[in-house]
Amino acid sequence: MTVFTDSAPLLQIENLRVYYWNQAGPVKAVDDISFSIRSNERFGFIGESGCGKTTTIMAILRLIRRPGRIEGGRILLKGSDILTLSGEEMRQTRWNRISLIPQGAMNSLNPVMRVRDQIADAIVTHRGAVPNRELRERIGDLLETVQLSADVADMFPHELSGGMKQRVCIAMATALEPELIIADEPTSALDVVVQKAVMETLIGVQERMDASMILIGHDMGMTAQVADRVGVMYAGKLVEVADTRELFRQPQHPYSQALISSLPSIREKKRGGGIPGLPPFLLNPPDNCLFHPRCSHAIAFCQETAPLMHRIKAGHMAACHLHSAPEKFDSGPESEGGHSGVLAATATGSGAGRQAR
Amino acid sequence: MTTAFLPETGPESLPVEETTLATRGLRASVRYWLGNWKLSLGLVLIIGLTGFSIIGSYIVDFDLTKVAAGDFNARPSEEYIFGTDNVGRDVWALIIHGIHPSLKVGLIAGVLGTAVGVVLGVVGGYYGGNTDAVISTMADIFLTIPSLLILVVLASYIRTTTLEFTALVIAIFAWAGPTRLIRSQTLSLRERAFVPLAKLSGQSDFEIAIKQIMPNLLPYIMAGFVGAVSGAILALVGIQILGLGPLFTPNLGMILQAAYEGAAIFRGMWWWWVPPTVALMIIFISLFLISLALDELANPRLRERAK
Amino acid sequence: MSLTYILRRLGIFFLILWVASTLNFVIPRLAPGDPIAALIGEMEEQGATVENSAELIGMFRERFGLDDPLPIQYLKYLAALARFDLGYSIRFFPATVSQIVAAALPYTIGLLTATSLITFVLGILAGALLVWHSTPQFGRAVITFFMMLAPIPYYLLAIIFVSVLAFSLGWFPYSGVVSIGRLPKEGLDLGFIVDLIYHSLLPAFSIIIAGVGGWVLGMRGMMVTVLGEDYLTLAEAKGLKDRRIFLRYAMRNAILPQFTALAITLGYVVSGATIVELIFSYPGMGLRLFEAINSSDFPVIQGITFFLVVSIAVAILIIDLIYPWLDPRITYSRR
Repeated sequence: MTVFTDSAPLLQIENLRVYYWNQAGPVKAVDDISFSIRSNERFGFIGESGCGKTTTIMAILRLIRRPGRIEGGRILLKGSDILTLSGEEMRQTRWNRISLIPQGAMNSLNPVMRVRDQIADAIVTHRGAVPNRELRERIGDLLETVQLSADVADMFPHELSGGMKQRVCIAMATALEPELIIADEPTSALDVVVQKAVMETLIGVQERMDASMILIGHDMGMTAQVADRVGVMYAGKLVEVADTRELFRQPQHPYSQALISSLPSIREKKRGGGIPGLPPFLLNPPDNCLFHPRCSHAIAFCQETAPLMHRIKAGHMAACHLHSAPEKFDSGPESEGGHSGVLAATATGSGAGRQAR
Repeated sequence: MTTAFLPETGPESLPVEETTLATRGLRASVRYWLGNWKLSLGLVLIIGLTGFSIIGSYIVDFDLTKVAAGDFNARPSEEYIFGTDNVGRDVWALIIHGIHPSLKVGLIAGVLGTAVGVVLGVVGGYYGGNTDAVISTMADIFLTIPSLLILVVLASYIRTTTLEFTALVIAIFAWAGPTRLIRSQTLSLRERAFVPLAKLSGQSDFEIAIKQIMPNLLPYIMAGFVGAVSGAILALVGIQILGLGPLFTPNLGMILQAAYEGAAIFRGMWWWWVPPTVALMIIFISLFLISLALDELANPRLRERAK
Repeated sequence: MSLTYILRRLGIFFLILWVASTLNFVIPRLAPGDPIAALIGEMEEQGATVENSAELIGMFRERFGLDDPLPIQYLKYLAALARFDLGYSIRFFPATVSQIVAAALPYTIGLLTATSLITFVLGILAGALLVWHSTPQFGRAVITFFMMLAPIPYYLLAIIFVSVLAFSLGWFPYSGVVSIGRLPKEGLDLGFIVDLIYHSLLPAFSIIIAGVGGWVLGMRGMMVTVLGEDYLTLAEAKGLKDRRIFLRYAMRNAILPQFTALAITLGYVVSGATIVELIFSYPGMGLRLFEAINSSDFPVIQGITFFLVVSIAVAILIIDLIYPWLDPRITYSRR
């Protein structure tokens, strides 16, 4: 895992904003987020449901449907902004360069088409007509790389189990060897044993293709094991980005701390605690720092000024005044003692979580 | 069979949220109803037409609808607003006295058909099994058989017939559409969370059917009723154009049939065939608008698209 | 396609025939008095005007077996139907009902098959386009207009067409199936065919335009549902071309319930078409039915009804047998 490379990132997202419009005004589903993904990297997103993870990745594919709209920002794939592509150019970019393993693999296959035709559809659309025999072989190979028998190609989706459908989706997503695979909760509908096997398949395929991957996991533990780096999202904002080990060991944003401490841990024999309060109602969000109503550290300043992404150390960013403006906090921790202070706060956070139960 | 106008609303097209109509709140419903132009326009048209006919019946002399009450084949004039037909009946009087009997037939057949449809639909959808298989198969078959033709056979044997009797006969076929609609909705309602919940809390099947399922079926029952009324009027006029059906009470189908028999079109007597045609169009269009609105109420996804 | 499926569909086929024939048997006997005895009596009175009346009356007595108990009458009736033996026309005796029907059936079947297919295809396509994102605004407006014609009954539209397009404007003939006195020449007579199609256009338009709105509505409703499905999002993510997504993913799925609806609306279409035929004096079953009603030719009335029900049942059987081929989930068959 190479964390530092000199090469430009594969995907760079700058100030992306996606709003859903309704009569009462915009719902800021994704609000001014920036991050980048390197070649061969697996980048994980964590956060409660509704925090904007899926909206973010759908924006990368430019598949935001009305009443949603991409309001601004840039999405640079190898340096060129895909938001400026024409519809036809974008269509050619999809699957060729960015593919998707959808959230609802159960219902993502067309019920009236054979698996073969659905995979062939992607290949033929982007690569042009392929001789029948070659196409057959190619599809057979694809299915075998996801541990499915080549016979599956002749089946209809209703003849497949959930795990098999998921594998078909993976095979389909890798058919054109894209540079970036986006996996939106690829294992959420499966039982635990199958989950692990499917995830291993997915990683195997991704590594062999030298592709990058964005992974949204419903299971934080799984994300922790699989991703190289992780971004934490809260209410449409990216609040922290760090290498996986660093993030899970030393989360810096109070929300990340609370989220991670909510994970049950076998080693520490503690029960997972929830996070007190509810995610904000995005039609009428709290001022500035969106997390302050639920944050045990919150001070008046948090309500007055929005925290910006602050570099804590190389490759680790967080958007919290605890780090960007420590002097505002009465018992503001010294810059070096910051970590221990924050870690202490972790315990407080989870303690509060337990009380809330 | 105007149920064909209602899109298939299977379980997948039901609102996802578990709020039921019973819990959605009266005020919100009323606001929705008032804001729906299809419903408002449909109601205004049908109520207006009914009112026009009933009130008019008290004002316009019924004797004008009788043979040789006025000139023959007269053009519209100050004396005869819509002219007269080939046997000297005043078309204006025929229309005024003819609208409400036609609606009455639709209403009788519609009420009967819907009542039977609700009972059979709820029973079939709720209990399932063989009962359901029999009910839904019979409903499908009755929908499939060209009801108009069977009615023609019947009417041809029983020539001298009244409006009320015709309505009863039409009702033989009017139950199938509502039954099908109500059954599929009951089926999907049964699967939703509040029914097992009610069962757990000790309510009997009958109580559940009345208290839990019925209120949620309301828009579908109304849609089924509107469809049945419209289908009944359609059948009535159809029978009449073929020269069967009630001939003694003035009604729209009878006027149209007389106009057809009297070759009104080819004699250029537009005042004879246009008024009943327009009146029937208003009836069918208003009922159609109402059923569209009911469908949007029951299926919010359509509401969004319809904007 | 599994055998049970075929057997069940055949079962429905015979059930439709059975229910319709039973209604046809029961209804005359429900009428006050004994309509059949009355009918025969009436025929005896009219004896002078009907050729071979004694022979006809004798056949009727035997046929209806009025002295038999009801169940026996019923069984005899069903047995005769199974042989397509519907007896004799009163008006055109000794012509059989089957002969009269056979002369009219091709016109009705031809008109209805052509118009039903056109209506279905047009309506489905228009309904799907109505909610498809890349349909131009003008197209949507046109489709919405035709959708709003959905509630107008066939016969009203037919009356308006006859009046405006045939009578006032004179663009179309307003009656008959060919020009008066026109008979087909030996061999392939193209002119005759053109004449026939020209005469059929207006009845066909009435049926198509009155029917298309219902399909637009049904398809619109189903498309809205399908457009929200996950497989549509994935199809778009796959970078497929718009047209392919529309045809193979969206329409292909939304069309399935429409086939069921097609089977169910056939009866309605046939009912409507008989009256359209009458209005246009198109020599199909509708016109024969009208003539039979006017001459109290009961066997012909019943025969026409029976044959139309048979036609509908056959059409439904065909749709049912095609359906599993369209929706693989129906039979779980593997190639």
